[in-house]
Amino acid sequence: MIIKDKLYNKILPKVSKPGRYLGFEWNSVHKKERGGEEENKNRIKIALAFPDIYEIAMSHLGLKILYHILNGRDDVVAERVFAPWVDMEALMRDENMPLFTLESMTPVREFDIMGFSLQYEMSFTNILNMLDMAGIPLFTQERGNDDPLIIAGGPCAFNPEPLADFIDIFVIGEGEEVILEIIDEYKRVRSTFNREELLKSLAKIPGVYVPSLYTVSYKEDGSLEGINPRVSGIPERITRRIVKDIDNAPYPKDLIVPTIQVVHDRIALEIGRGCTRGCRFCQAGMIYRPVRERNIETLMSLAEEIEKKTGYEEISLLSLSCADYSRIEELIRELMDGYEGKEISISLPSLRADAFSVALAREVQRVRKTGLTFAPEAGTQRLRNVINKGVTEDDLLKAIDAAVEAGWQNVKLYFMMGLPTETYQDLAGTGELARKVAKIKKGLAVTVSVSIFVPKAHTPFQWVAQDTISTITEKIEFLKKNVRGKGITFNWHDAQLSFLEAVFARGDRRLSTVLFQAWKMGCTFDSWSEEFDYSLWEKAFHKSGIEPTYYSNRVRDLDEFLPWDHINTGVSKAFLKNEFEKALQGELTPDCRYDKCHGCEICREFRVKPLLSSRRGGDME
Amino acid sequence: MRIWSKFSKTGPAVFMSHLDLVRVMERSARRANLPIAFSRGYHPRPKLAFGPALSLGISSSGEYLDIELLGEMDLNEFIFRLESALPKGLNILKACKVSSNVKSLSSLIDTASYNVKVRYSSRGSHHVPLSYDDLKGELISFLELPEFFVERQVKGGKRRVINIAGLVEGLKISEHRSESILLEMLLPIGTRGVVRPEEVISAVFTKIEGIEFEIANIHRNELFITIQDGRRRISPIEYSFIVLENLSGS
Repeated sequence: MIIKDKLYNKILPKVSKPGRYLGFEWNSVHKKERGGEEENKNRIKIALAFPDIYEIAMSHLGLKILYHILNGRDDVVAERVFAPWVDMEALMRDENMPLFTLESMTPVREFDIMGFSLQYEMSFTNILNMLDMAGIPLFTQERGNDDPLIIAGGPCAFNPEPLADFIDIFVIGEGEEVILEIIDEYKRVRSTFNREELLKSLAKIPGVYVPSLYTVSYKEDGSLEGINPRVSGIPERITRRIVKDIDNAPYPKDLIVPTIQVVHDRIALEIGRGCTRGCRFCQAGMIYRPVRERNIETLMSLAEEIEKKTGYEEISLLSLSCADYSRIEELIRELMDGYEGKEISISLPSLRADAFSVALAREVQRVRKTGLTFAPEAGTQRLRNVINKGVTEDDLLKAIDAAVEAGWQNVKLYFMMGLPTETYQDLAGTGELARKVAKIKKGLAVTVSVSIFVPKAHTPFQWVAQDTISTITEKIEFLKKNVRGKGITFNWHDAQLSFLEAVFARGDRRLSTVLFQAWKMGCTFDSWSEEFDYSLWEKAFHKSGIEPTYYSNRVRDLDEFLPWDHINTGVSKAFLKNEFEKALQGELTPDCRYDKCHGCEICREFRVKPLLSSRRGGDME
Repeated sequence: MRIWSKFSKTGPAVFMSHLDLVRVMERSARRANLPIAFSRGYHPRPKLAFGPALSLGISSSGEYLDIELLGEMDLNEFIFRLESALPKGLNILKACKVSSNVKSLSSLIDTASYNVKVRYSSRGSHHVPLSYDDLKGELISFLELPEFFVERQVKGGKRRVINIAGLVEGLKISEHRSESILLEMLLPIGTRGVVRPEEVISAVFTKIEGIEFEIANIHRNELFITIQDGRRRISPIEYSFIVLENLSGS
């Protein structure tokens, strides 16, 4: 095995964190080395790719779910491949070593399918770089019958257009629902392999979007006229796929236990999916509806099995908002009873800013009070109402009170700046709120983290403009002076990075050129501050003849065709418009779990109801 | 019950740092469902301890793990269960029982033996192999040096200069080929001071004129405990037997 020898003897001794490139972790699946030649020839080989380093990739649950489902099939081999860090890339290119998978060290080019996970816009150049390192043509149009099929899914697939020229097929929605259908169709068509025919037949699978089979038409002013199928028999709008019966959905028990430390190095126990709190800036709150909770019995048996098979010492509950799980107190009690004696700790990320959440955190962190994070998001009640963040100053202060009383000595507060209708009064509110929090107890450390609002597709704010870089810079200067006081630390995000995120989050197909140019000029790992070089991006836009502010700083007309309008999340555009109008009036929309239905249409679209663990066996069938 | 295990670290595990190894062993012990003892206090930690750390990239067939269990356990069963829960590249070779009053591995172990393979070539177009006698001469002259300073990075980014001459306890040629040489060396480790195998290689080969060299690989064979005022050097497993005999004898 040429790759292995070179890797062990020449490359790994020189590279930082060599463990990133070794796929022999506990529970990793090594079918390829074990299977016979004939058996392997008939298997569909899929490389699950994540366009960032190992530590980030291995912290992602979706990838683990797909790895588990795919390797559960005897006729499929799934292996992993992540972005080599810059030092590794340089050594690999020097040695002419192609991008290879972790498990069997096979060149990715030899796989049938390469599937990317799209979690954030600023990982897009890494996709191009990985394709290039693999020796796979970057553009869909340049790929032949011998090249792997390139698929992509994840939240960024909800606005797939900026990547449309590079990705053969996008999966819209929850991958575990679709992936085996894609494999089966691939298997059926592969004997008569013809790329065009394959793409046409895959495009018929619900939830699959094949961009090369759709034509984009433009108006004279450069805005979009529409995105329409150019062949018959494929849908005009691609409807997202969802898991309806989450309790019986496949869940990985034999999680890979990384050898090197990764960002989330613990058991992720997904307690539920979806959130209907309805924060108007939040894309996850729209694209993962409806709420579906796993049952406590299911969760307890999953936890037990995963713990035995991995040896992890920590179980972290996972959902968009853990405290909203309808039987959260009961779940925590059962977990604590079951695991405290075994020295296994329970952690609860993503808590709401209220005393109830603090009580939960107190329950699980009886001794180690590491720090609590709350996200009031905006400095004044007026602006919190605009974004429908249903939290009041009183809620927050009571939460901090409870935290202080329980023994916490540092809290983090997350805010966003540049929100629609924001004024300097709202920004001043950030500092005031931080000082009120810091005053609760002498010695309390308060870290205020301010990120820059990025309008996202499929949200009520999809029509608004992001603040210009110069406005953002002025506002940051203001906040630096304003968010001050005893015990207060102020952090803020990079304006230029957020600007680019805004460009790609609502970009269209014309941005493919920019991505290509930026990558050619050397942009990779843009979400890493030490690698991010904004001047290269400026050059890339200039060279492509594209004005980025058209995407980030332009207010869209409510009737304009948006580049993601052909992607149907199940939440209606009318609902988003209505929410936008209510936002401007500062009107709240309460959570439909505890209030009436507000007509987002998700339940009608998918013929489902919110599935709450507490209502199981009740009248919701 | 306290158990010392001897284990090897080869293949992919060579690239596992010491901190990674600690975590991997803790999780493996949990998977093996061993009745691990935990420390008391606010942050209960599993009672696992190791001998001197092995640098990243070095393989070994002589690493040691100290693990404390609640209650008694058959040693063969212990080996079987832990071995079956270890990732590729880590293997348990032996295990023995030690009494709780025995000192820690890291304070007892004071010597390590290594095999180092060095590849070399002559500068210029023609390769002239080093003769066995020349090489032996180089080793002897190194061992007889009154001082040889190496520079080391210490904590806080500072540098420190150390004299390693006289500290090397054994150095011999175990394989002599025209383009590579295998050296066996016995070096101090632990609290009394450390000499690294790559420092010895660089000291010996840098002064040989007309050649270029590189370390092909380093392997740690065994770790030792010195007893009887420096007269005997034994492995931790042998040490545990002696301690056990002394106990039953008295």
